[in-house]
Amino acid sequence: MTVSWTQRSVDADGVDVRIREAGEGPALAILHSAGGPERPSAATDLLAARLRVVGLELPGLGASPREDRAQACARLAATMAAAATAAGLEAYALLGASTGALVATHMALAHPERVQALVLDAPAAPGDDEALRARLPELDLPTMIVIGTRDEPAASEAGREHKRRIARSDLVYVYDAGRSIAGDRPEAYAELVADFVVRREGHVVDRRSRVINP
Amino acid sequence: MKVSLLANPSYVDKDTGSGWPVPPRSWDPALGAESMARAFEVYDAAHAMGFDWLAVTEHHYFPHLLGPNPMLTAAAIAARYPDVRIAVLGAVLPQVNPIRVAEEYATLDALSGGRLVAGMFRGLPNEYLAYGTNPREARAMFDEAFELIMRAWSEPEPFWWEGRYYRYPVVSVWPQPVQRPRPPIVASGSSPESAAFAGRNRLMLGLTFLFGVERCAQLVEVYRRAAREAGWEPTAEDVLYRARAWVAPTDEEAQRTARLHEIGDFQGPLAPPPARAAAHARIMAEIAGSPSPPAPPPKVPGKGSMPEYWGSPDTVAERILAEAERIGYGVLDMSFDSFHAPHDAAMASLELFGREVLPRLQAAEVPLRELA
Repeated sequence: MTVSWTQRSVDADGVDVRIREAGEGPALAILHSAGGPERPSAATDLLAARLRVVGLELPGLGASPREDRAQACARLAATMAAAATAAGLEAYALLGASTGALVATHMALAHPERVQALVLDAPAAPGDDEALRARLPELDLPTMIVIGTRDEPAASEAGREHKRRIARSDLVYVYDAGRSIAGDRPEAYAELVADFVVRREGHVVDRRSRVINP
Repeated sequence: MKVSLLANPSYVDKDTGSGWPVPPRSWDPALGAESMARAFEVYDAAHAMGFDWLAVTEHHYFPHLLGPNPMLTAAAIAARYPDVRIAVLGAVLPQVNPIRVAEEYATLDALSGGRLVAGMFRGLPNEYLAYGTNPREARAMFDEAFELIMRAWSEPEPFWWEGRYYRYPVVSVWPQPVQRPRPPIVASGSSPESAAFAGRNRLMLGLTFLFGVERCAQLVEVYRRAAREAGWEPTAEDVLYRARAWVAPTDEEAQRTARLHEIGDFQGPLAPPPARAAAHARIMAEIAGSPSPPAPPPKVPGKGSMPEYWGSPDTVAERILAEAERIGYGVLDMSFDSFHAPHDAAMASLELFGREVLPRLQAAEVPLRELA
């Protein structure tokens, strides 16, 4: 499967944010993690086959100009929300990995009318940001927390803490995946995320048929 | 040393067929009910003698070992005997729902007040046919099922499991096990890979006489090395060895009656009827040729063989203690009901063992060799 990704930049509060997009359907905005923006991968290609995927590169990372904003998740969230709007997204599901999950959480809190579903991929421990931690119970949107079973025990602990504090959340363990769930189990990751974006809480209901032969 | 008794109900009649599967047309309801009752006569006797564990196994479509769901027999044992450890030497993980295993084991542990020893096995090759398990995937399924069960017993929040072989949108097991963090687990050590798996994961190692003494001793070494690398030192009582015994007042008498009742013959009941032998061999070759079969038993003792431990009480006790040290096991899982012996003869052998051999074994401590 070949997916063609287009790249461009948008202006967000005077910051140049690079975006990469592909696919059609329900919109999914992905914040690239603090570990560095990911190139389109098997997982993002699979997502783009079912969704309109817009990858937003966090300023201060990768090829973006270094910005002080990367230090402050809340301010970064405002920039990324502006970037999503500038990219033409109105209502969308939002996915953030690692520190990007904290930025995504800030965006969901600040813009409940725009962020309609939230995917936290191996989120950093909420304790890293006390103010954010205290506000997690305010989140009132379908949220999926995804953790790899081979990741450090601290990853499960962070996932659990999010699960306890966000009423409408599911905690998903992806077997045999480490820190990079999308890299280790791309098909499982893409199916989980795409089903969740399309079906929200309803994704727990299995639609696979068990018929062997009619 | 701890001593366990395996007394799976065994349906045997001179007209019962051999091989696998045995056709259900042989089933006689009266004899079936009697077989169940007889197994509990054996457990009653073993319990009265003070065996440390009572054990059950999982096998399918096989009258000689009736125990398709060992959890059911284990629940009956738990209710009947209030003070003994209950060892389930199933469950065969690749062929059952692992969440169900987590739930049933936790239930057994809770209703027995924390007396469960939970087995986790990969099963005999023929049994992959029973529930349609692909033998090529059995090892990978076992690994994933094991990890899922551990997560189901330790994760405080409800979770979704997104595996390769299993997907459960909601996992939130009640009851949880009473023994924390989890009950003792026995895993099969039929290959160096599985022995190392048991060592890495702090599990007990389960061995059987079918592998042979030398191979068992090697597997124990692999297990102990893997455990050491994982930062713990198992004792002999972390290793379980399954064997058969036949005891009589004298060695001569034991030999004579063992031969008479063909106590050592393990092959007879497994041998397919002649008309199906070729088909059976082809199926077993297909399973053995797959990348992840359980290691094939090196040699199944046939007609004319003797059980592992036979003789007078003195002879049997000495042989067991010597072999326990050689292999490095501290839990002996015994079976007395042979497929062939009359019930009364098997009970007499068990009673002699219980009176004269069992106390000596329980008083012994098995020293472990230094690892090279």
